[in-house]
Amino acid sequence: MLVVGIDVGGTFTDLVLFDSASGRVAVTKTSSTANQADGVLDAMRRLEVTTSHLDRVVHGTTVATNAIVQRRGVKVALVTTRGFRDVLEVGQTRRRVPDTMFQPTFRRPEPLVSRPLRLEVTERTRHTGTVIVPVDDGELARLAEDLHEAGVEAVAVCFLHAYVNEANERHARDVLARRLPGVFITHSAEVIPEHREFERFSTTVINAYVSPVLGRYLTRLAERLNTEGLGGAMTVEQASRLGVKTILSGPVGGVQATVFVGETAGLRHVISYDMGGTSTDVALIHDLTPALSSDNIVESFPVRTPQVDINSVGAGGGSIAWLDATGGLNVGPGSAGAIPGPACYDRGGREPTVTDANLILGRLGPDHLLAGLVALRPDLAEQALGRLSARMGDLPLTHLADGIVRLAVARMATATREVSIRRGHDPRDFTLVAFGGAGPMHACSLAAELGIPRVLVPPSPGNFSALGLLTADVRHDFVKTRLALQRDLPAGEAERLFEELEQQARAQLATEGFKGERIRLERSADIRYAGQAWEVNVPLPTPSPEGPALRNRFDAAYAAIYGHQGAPEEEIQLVRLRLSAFGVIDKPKLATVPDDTGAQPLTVRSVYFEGTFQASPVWERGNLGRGARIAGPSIVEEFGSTTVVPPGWGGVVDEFGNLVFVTK
Amino acid sequence: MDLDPIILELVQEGMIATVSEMRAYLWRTAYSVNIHEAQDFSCALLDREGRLVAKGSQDHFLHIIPVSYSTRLVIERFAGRIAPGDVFLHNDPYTGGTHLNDIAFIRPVFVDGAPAFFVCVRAHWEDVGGMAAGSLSGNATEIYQEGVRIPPIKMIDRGTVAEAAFELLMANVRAPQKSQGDFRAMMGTCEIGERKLQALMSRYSPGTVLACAKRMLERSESRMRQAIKAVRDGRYVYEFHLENGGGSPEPVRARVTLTVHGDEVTADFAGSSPPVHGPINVGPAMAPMMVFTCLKSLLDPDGAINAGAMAPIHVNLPEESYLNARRPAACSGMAEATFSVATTMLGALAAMLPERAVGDLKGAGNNFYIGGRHPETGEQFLFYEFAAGGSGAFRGGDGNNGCRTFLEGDFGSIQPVEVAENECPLLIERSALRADSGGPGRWRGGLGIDRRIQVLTAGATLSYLGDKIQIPPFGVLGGESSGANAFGVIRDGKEFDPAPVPGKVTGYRVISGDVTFSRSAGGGGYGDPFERDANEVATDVAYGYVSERGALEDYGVVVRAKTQRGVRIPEHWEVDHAATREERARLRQRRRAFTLVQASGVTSVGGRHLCFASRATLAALGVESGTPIEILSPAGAPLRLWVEAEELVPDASLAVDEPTLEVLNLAFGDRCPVRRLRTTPG
Repeated sequence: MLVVGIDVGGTFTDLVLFDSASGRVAVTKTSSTANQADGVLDAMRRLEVTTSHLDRVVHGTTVATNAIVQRRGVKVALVTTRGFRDVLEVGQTRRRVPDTMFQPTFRRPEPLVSRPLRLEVTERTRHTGTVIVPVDDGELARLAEDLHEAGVEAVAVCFLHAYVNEANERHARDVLARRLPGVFITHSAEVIPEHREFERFSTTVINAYVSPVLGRYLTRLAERLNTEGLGGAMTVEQASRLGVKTILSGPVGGVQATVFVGETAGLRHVISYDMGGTSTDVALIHDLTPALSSDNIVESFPVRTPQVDINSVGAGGGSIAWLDATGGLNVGPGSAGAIPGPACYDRGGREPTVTDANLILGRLGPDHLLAGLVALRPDLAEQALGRLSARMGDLPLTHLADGIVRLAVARMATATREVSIRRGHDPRDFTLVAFGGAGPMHACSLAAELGIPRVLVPPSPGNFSALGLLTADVRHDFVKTRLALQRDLPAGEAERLFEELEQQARAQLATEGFKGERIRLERSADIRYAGQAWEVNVPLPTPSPEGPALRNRFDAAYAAIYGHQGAPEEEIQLVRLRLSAFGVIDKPKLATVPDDTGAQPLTVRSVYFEGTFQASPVWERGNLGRGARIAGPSIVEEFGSTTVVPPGWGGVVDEFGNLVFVTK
Repeated sequence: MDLDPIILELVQEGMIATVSEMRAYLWRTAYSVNIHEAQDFSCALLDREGRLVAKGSQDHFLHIIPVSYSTRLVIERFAGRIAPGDVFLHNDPYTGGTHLNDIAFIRPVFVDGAPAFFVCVRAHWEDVGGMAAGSLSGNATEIYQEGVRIPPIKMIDRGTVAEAAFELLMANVRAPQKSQGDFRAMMGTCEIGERKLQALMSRYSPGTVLACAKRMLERSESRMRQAIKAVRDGRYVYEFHLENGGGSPEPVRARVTLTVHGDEVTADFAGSSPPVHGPINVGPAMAPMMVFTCLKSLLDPDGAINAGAMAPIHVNLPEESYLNARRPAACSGMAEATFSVATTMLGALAAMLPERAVGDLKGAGNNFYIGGRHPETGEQFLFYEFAAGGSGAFRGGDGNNGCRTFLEGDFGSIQPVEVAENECPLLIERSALRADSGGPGRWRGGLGIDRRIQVLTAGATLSYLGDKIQIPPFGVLGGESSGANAFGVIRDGKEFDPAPVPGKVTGYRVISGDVTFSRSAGGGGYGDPFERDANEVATDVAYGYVSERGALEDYGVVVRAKTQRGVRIPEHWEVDHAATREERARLRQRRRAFTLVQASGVTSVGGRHLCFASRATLAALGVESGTPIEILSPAGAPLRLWVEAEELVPDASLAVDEPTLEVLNLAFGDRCPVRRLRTTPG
């Protein structure tokens, strides 16, 4: 069995190959290309997978996300309930763009469907599911002609209350599909059958906007893989139908890899901390389960499909330090990126960055090749920081450099706290798993800031994310909205609805070759106290508990997040049932490392910690075997990444080569 | 103390994070829809003197600037009696509250036995008792009709809830269960804030954190002073009338004299109306809050918001004024009274900074309630929303459609249909943009929203509170007025407004099947509409933002459909450029300018500021005696006065008084364009 994982990022395309027969894992990296397929094929050639038969390709792609960001989706029409075509534009009247609250010149981004293509039909379903006005076929036929005339490539059918009864919506979908061959047609109940019309309509419109783009891309990619003898029929049907589900999936590889490494290292609660050149992504993983969020905004448009809850903050190695109008020091979100890059790269960058600061502090070695590509110039870093220091009363360079790093760490700490507070967790109960080019350099400082006692740095942290593509089980989420007070819910109804969802799930997974033991189903329900507007997701066993058993589970889940629970007389209300269905795949086995044979540091470098330069051993990671111990202050270098071990931290190499640090 | 610039930034980050965590906690735990759905609440951190130090990016001035007044009062009244673990409650408008529904929780943060900071949260409770469900009432004439008034009281004494006060409060609200949930959530919010701030101080030392707070205020002050200094010194006057004060049909006048001198600004409201026998009054915190918000938004929208940025801005309120309410004045119309300050400020600022002027806004709360008993559950239901309108056009851009404006905070203002219908016996029939409601201009104002809500049960009541129904929001620099606000009922296909005075109704009994409506105003336009590119107008027609008639009458653009097909895409429309040139020339010729002459006698009657013209002049203008007209000040925003027929005034002249000249910045003998108010489409 041969599986390939392809992760297309903004700068690099990572490709990982796993051969389950031999246990071989191979990794490569190429520059991303405008046509993502070129980069993918290039990477495949490098790994020489030409003659083999591929069993599965796992593809992390930004095609759908880019289509929105660059406004290059297809021409979409919205067909909706009469009187409500402007829901898509107005929503609940919010601005939906952060930090614009006081701007008189703010312009809200144009909706993805312009008003002339937002069309209304006479129809209505009530919240009970009762259809009070059926759709009229004659009206739909005229509508289809108009849509044809207008040359739309996709249609989103979005009717009020379709989450409870999709009869009108499906009927309209069927009629339009018959009359508009070749046009992509989607409807809200198939995309996200949840109440709140703006979020559901928006998600459905995005699905219509990106799915044809993604479908074309995947079809082309599959054809080219086939013509190049890369074999394997690709199932692209699901992704092309529900392209919205790939939105925001970019950073998920790192989260999945963190789950995998956490599991092998025997950890239950981990935070994935991925710091690259421009930004940092953090996610909370409690009990080896990444927290999901349905409350996502992409370019001001809500996307309600569940996504891993990742918090991004504009702090990376390339983040620029600058002074605002009051003379206050700021770091990011502006980044020098890869070009021109930090000043010390000597590629024309003049702005002082976090990487320049780390070089001045000795945390990065001047002779170290960052990402294996660049020799660093401390003199240019000093000039860049010197210009800034001159505007700050000649603040000593090391003090300024230390401050830049601390500010970046403070911002990352805020982002990390946010993801934990949202879930009612204390970050101190977690292990920080650090990766990305700049993650290991700041991991211990970030952990200290958050009170986290333990840090894990996996081997090859620069390529870590792609590993996640090979370790993630296939996942599909199903949902059924059922708004009802617990006392109004007939006995056995929840169980019946769960069983319906399970049937759908098994059918879907069967088409992908999963059955029996290879299928894992997880039930949960969104529940709230009557009168609240937001719900808590409560995992549920089979059969579905009822009466006090259900109530107790909800009370406990609620109290775990908020520290208090409702009074016994407060009723609880079911909002929706959820089923997560997994197709369980074979996972690669992590290679073990040989026992340590008394590795010695390469050299000793002067590194700035706690206000002074301290003599710090520099280790080559490749020389460190299982059981090797590193005491701070120390530096561990490897291809593409540097781990900084401050005083007060000590670490040991585990059997898989992970560096595991604890604070004293 | 010499403060390390790095520590300063780290502490500031820590303070903002503290407030953000408070916000996240309340949002997740509150019970009221208004808190977690509409996010009508804010958190803040204040220093030992009650000065605002930090807020989160989503916290709004409307809540947090008045919190300074509340906190200062707590400091003063409870001097020597404040202990760790105390929480003070406050909602009294006369001493720094907003309206009674907004309740502030204030908790001291102690260092060395004395309060060093205060953490605060202010949230809008759905109901605090009073004569009407939801408490805010357009019919209120005394504060006692608006709910429970809470002077600052110590509600939690060293961590223990004062049972007597708590029970008394809960006995006087309509939804005690929800209110108790909100109470607990707000208590928890203050605890989180205190814990976070204590952690910050134990890390950096209390002295350092206090020094950082001081420095943060100083640098914001200096930044605001620089921004003011860049504006030329001068005196800018504007005057605006609310249509009525609720209790009586007489208009309420807001008049501001804005003086820029060096790096300071003073806003003086001398000449504004006395207290109103109705709900349109506000306490002394609100006008300064709105003056600051307007100045800050136009001068320096990106800088940090704290007491330092407010320091160079001074506000003088007359002793006797609806902007300086005293007991027992009703304050349900807080939004209308506060927005009257905003509109007046926008008028004055249009003269001060014409290149940054913006069209006027819907300018009222537009609070809209339907309440009653749910026929299925037997429980009380309350549908509450306050639909946003369009935002004003500005130099370089059209306004936004149905969107919170820069003066309103960014929280939801209409309910999702699928939430409302699940909770209330209502059928929402329509939620649509209003064609032609955007103020015409070179840049067009944003469109308002038309909400139609059918009531499906007997015995429900309708209440609403709004203004700018007869006198629509103005355009600037020649831009036209937008569509006005409108509220009412459609019964048997006929529209009517059951309000005794426009925009103010409490507890009107609707019958099952009635369709209630709430239409929000658009935003005012910017610049001469005849200078708008005709092709842009054609696109507006294709989009249905502007009707064909609107294109012709408001813009002088002749647009034709090339097809009768249902989808009105821009390619289906064409401009007749020759006819457009002709039409625009014809309409320009119909514009009128009159010579200003001195009015004799009384120029202010029943709250109305008057001007006078001959009957022939009125006929030329197409208006009747006693109606408002628009005098286009070259300064930026038009002045609206009521015109009366007076045969002694020469033809083609307008007799005005001296205060009018101050607004217009003109002299007697000058000629000035005058026009009738643009009438509102349906």
